[in-house]
Amino acid sequence: MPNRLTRAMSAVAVALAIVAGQSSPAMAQRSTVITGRVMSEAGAPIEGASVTIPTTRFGTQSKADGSFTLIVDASVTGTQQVMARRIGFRMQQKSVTIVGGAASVDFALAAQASQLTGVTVTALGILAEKTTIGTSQQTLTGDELVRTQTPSVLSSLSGKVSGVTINQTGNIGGSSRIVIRGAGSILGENQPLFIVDGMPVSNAGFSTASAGGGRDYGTAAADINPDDIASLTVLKGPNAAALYGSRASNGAVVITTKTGRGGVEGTRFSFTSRMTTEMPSVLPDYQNKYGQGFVGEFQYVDGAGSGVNDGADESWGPKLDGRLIDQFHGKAQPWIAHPDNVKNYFQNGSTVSNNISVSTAAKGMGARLSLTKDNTKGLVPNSSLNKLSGSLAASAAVNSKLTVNGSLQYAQTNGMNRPENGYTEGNPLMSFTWFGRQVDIQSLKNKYYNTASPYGFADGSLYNWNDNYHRNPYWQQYENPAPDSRDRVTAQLSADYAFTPWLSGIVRGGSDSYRFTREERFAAGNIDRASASYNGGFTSFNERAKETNFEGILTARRTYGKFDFTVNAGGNLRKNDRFNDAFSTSGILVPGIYNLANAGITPSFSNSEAHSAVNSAYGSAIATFNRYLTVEVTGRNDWSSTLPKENASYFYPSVNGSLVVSDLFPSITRNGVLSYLKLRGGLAKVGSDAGPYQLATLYNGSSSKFGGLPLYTLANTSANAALKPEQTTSSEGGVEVSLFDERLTIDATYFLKLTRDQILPLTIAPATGFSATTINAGQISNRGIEAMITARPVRLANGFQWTTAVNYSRIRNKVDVLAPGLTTVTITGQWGTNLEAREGQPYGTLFGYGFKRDSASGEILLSDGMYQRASVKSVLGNVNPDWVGGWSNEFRFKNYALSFLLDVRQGGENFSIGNWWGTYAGVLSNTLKGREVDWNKPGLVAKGIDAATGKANTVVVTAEDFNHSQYPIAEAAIYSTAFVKLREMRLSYDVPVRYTAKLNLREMNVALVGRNLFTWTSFPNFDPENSSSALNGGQGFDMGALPTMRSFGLNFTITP
Amino acid sequence: MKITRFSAALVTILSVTAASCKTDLTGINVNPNSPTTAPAGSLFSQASVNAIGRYLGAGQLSGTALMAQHLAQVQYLDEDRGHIRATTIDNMYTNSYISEQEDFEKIIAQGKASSSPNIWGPAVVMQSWGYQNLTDIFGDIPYSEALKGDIPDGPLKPKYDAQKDIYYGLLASLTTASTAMKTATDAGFGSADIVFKGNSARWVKFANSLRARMAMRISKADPAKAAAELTAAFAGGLMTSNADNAILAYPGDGVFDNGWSGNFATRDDHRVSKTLLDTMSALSDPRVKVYAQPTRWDPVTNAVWANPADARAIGLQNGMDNGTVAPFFNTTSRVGAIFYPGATVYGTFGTSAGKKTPAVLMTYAEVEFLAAEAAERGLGGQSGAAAHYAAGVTASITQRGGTADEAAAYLARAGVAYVPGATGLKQIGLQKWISMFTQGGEAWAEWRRTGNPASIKMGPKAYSDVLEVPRRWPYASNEQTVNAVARAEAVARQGPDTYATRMWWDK
Repeated sequence: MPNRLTRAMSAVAVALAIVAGQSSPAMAQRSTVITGRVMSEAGAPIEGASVTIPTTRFGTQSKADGSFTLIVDASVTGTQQVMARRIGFRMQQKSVTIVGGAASVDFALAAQASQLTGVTVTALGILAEKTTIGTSQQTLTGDELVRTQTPSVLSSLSGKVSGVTINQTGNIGGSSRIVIRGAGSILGENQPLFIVDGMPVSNAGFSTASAGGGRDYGTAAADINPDDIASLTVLKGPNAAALYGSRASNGAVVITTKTGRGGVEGTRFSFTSRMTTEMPSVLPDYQNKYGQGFVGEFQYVDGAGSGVNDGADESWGPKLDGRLIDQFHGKAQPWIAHPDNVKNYFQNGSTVSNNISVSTAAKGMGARLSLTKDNTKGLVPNSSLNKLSGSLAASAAVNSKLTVNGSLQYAQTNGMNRPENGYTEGNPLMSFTWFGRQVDIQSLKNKYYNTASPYGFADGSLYNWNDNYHRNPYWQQYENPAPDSRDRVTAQLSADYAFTPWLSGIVRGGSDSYRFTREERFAAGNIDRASASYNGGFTSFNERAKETNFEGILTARRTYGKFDFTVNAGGNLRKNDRFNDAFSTSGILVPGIYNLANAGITPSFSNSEAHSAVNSAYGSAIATFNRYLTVEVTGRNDWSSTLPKENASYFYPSVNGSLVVSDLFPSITRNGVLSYLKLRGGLAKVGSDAGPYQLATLYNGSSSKFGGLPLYTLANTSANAALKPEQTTSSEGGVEVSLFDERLTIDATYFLKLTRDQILPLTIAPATGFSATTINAGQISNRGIEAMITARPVRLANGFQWTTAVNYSRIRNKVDVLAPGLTTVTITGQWGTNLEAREGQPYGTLFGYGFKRDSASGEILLSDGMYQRASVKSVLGNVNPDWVGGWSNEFRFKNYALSFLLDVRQGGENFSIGNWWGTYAGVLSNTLKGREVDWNKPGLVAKGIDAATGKANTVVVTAEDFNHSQYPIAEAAIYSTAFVKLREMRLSYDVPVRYTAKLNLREMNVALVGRNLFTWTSFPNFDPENSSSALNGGQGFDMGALPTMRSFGLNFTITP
Repeated sequence: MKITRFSAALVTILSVTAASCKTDLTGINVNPNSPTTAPAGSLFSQASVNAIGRYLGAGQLSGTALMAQHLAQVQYLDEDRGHIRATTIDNMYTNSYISEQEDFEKIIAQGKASSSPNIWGPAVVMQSWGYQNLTDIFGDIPYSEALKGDIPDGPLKPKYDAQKDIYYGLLASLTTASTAMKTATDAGFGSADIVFKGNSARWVKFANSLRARMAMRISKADPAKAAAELTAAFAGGLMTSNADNAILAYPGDGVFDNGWSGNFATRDDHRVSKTLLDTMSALSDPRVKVYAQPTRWDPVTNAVWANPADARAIGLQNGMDNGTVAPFFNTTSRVGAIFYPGATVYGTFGTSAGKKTPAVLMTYAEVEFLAAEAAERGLGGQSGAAAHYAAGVTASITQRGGTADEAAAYLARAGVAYVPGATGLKQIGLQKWISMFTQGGEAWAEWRRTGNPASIKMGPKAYSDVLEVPRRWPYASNEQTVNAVARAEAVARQGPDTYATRMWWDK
């Protein structure tokens, strides 16, 4: 034992000697002593720079004043390259001739932006040096967010941040979903907390869209104007966000807006204009050989079954060979293909976005005013979205101790006729999943109503290709107005006060409030929305929500020798208020008057309010030793109004640490390969409260009166008066490496996140009188790795430079356990297929009917040549990607910059209802198989085992019968959503000063931008990103949702 | 100085913040939208609307009325070919307990707490009516341990009771309720009673009439109990005229419409069954014009009737498939226009009155048919089968808007005129089945008990696992997850969970 200890101690001593960078005095007889200073180009001393002779083992570090003393053994002689390096600066080498005795060399290092260094925002808005942070996070600058025109700041994160999955829809102003490190909460939205300038803001989802209908009104984060963002930091998970409390279990997105302060003194204007045009990025591949009908026959009389198969909304009709057939637009019309009849329904969208900002900066103060107007015309006819946003921010140092900040953001968003989603008549795209391939869409555009058709409909009924199931898609968009509007005001004020050089305090107060209103108006004839005997109807919905926060934090920073300490202590009072009201009637009297006074059917009303509050106290202590070893502990206690008194108070701690190994052992950087190495790790626990009003079983009234009689009914869920908070524990470890003088940096993290005690409705036997009771149960685990690799492979003397970055995230998600007697929780469902949290499976499992298979061989069993449905449902896939990644590149040469971003998603499945019905209905090109000759010739022989004979199937069936046989089988339309997208492309040009000067401009930049330019995917016919909404329940199904938009455009920025 | 003041302010703010952290916030969590108790009358109105809508609205159109072959499907043919959709089963089984039975349970508790038989009595009657409907569809169901999900330590996996025990329990409950209501003096629900408008005498009659219905239902399985209950029920006083009918008149305001009419306003999936119309037409039944509209097209020419006066009602064969049913879309009869709100095209009844068409829970006509059967079989102290039969037929025809003269002429026809004995029992069954149009569940149950009419046979394109008309519905699939053990016990007792298994009273 003593021997071993002695040996260990000598090893430590040797290590320390190496750390100290000094050779033993015995060897210093004829040594050379090199002295000098390491400074920045701006003239500031650089502490902690390593000064080495890479070819030898000799090295030292600079002191606080930048000075260093490097003692070199006598064995080293001649001209040597002395290298000075410090993270955040470009390495510099200088030649020194070593002859013994004294030598001198000074360095002036150029600053270099790096992913791994610099000051960044951490939880509670505290600034910290990246080298001291023990958790994982990633920061994007405002410029990186506005490279191309995106519908929301969240969309622009796609492919750029590791550990993050972004889902978006193609609708104008559609929702975007960001999930950090996998979904943990079974029924929560799993969205991170959004913080703007220190205050939480809402990212509430307004979407009513699902694969079954509704509209996608986007999420509240879309109100944040990207032009006003100075930086955006993603705090990846509870470890980084623990101090934010209850809502941090999904991580946090921390946004700092531009204040104008700290820039060049004086007043600056900036004008940015972006013009893009949009088109669908993916459209289905339709067949153009057979028109509407069944069994090769069709003749139109009333589109409702009176003619020959004229009720058919499928394309199994006669061959499109020009024969004359009665159609909805006239008798004996040529029966010909209209290959672009779907494509022509779409119009080119356009977005014109203009931003003007003025900022003024003087010593210690600054202010910025920004106004942005976005006008968007959608892909679907008569749809638009207009947004006006303004921002005012000011910051002033009142004196040397007191700084005050204030900011105010306003956004007004007005949507018009955002198309309905999903499998509903209100979705114009739904008809294209069925449709007659011969339909001349132009004639539907020309008129909506029958006036004097040859078939005697002078009744104003719809002029349409089918009257049984579908609407004229133009009538839907032009005669059924659906306006929506949202006003959002976010305001915050803060005062920062330095009591002493080491003690400061901040108080901050703010509110985020919005009012959202949407109305859907139905014309007469909209029979599944309005009563048949009335002239239409309408629904109106209003929501007001407000969150207020009030916060105070004291911060002490002290240095004792090599130790730096930072201690924070604070408290927060949060209150959330929400008011909803809605009214509707399915029958109005006078057409076009969408007012309750015009209601023919007793309107129904509802109103509700919800209030909750959380009080919090928190603190953190950070100790840094010698700038390379940092340990942070945090603690927070929340008191929530939504939990029973005995469980209302809950505490959660976190601890994390970081070690800059390359500073601890500078020698490892000596060979010039490794320039920086940091290890970090942390543990955190975060609690999450319940929604309001879940503790008591209540009676619900009804605004509808039965012949004037009031109605009440008991709630369907039996409440649980003993709820506990949900718990998320998370551990992570990471490494940050910089190689080859920061030409290559790697930031990688492994994490494990467990979410327990989930607040769930446990489905119970309905005979109890209740459908569910609320319980705390279950555990979901997310484990994964996330990595960001940045490289500058080429940097030529002529100024050409190539920067590339790859990010990669691989998350394994599993529902480890639910509750006794509970094997699955259904999140949503469509056509008998559910999106579930199923025990032992990943969150978001698709569970439905597969093909009937031979139990021995697993081959598909056919009966009479057609598919059969399995007798029980099974797991068909899950929506979680195996991994996601992004690859960004930027090439700069002189005034030109070319950048592109590839966004990659591998794995994950979707139940494509669009493909399912499109195949059933014979409109997609894959349905031509078996009818290459005529509607029933040559027929096809499906691959599989004949259930009757047990041998390979030989029965010939028509394409129509065969494709119909896949209807009850969801498995037939489960596809991988893997894709590679050319997400962003931008070519920009900075107009040289010699021209801008003539125009009296400081800067001028022109850029060509493109978004979603190409998609490589095996997903058939539709966009693999296609989902009805990006909210929790919108995942896993595609049905008639718009593809993401492909956009091209021009950006133009001038700064006078 | 300034510094000190500011520091003081800051410290104050911080300490106030800290101090308020521990403030009890639970007061904020009192729901401002919904109370913890509700008026019994409002609960009763809602629960009754729900229950009646379930068994007489959607549940019939996608199930029982097809099995009774009152209606047939002309598109979306699953049910008519023997497969009830999972959502339909859920709507029946699951929602029945959740949406109304639990609420009736709460009303009964409230009424008993305030010693108000005119509150708890009607709730017991409605709950019993619902339970009978439910057990007649599924057989054994949770009963004695049901509706206790919010009671501390109440059973979350209630056992399934044997159908015999359920029937005994329901008969006992109805007896208790009718006895208590007979002498009750409390105010009751008043107008919130949407069936009888607070008329407790009519509740007593309904309760006794239901007892008679239940007793007759078990007369094959348990003759002794049936006889005793029939005697007691008749002694207690049954419905005596159409004015006593248990019906729910809908406001027809577009929100609360007759269930059939609400469906037919937007859907066109049903036709009147050939089984029913062939039977009625053969007897020149005066109710045909009420039950069915003349067809749109002449089936011979497959075009609009050349002479509109020739248009007549033609039924649709049950249990066809997509291929075979298509030609009949325009050549078979839609349900009588009384159920089509605002329709003028298809018949003479087309007014918005269709939406107000009452749902029928039980009629005086049925009571007379019960008396006729009892008399014919020598049960319950009844006699005069022919007179009861005639009264039943007459009551049904007048209930449907016909006249006493029409009824008399009808009753005089061969095949309608009563023939005592075994023929009479068949005639009673047939007329009861005709009279129960819009009460598909009860008609289907009576067909299962009596086999009348014998013309109800499974359609030609039935699914291969349902080649006979179902004798019950399978249990809700979710029960295998949430109440597996109890369900397995019931299956072991009752027989396989299939359409073919006969329940206790049907053995």
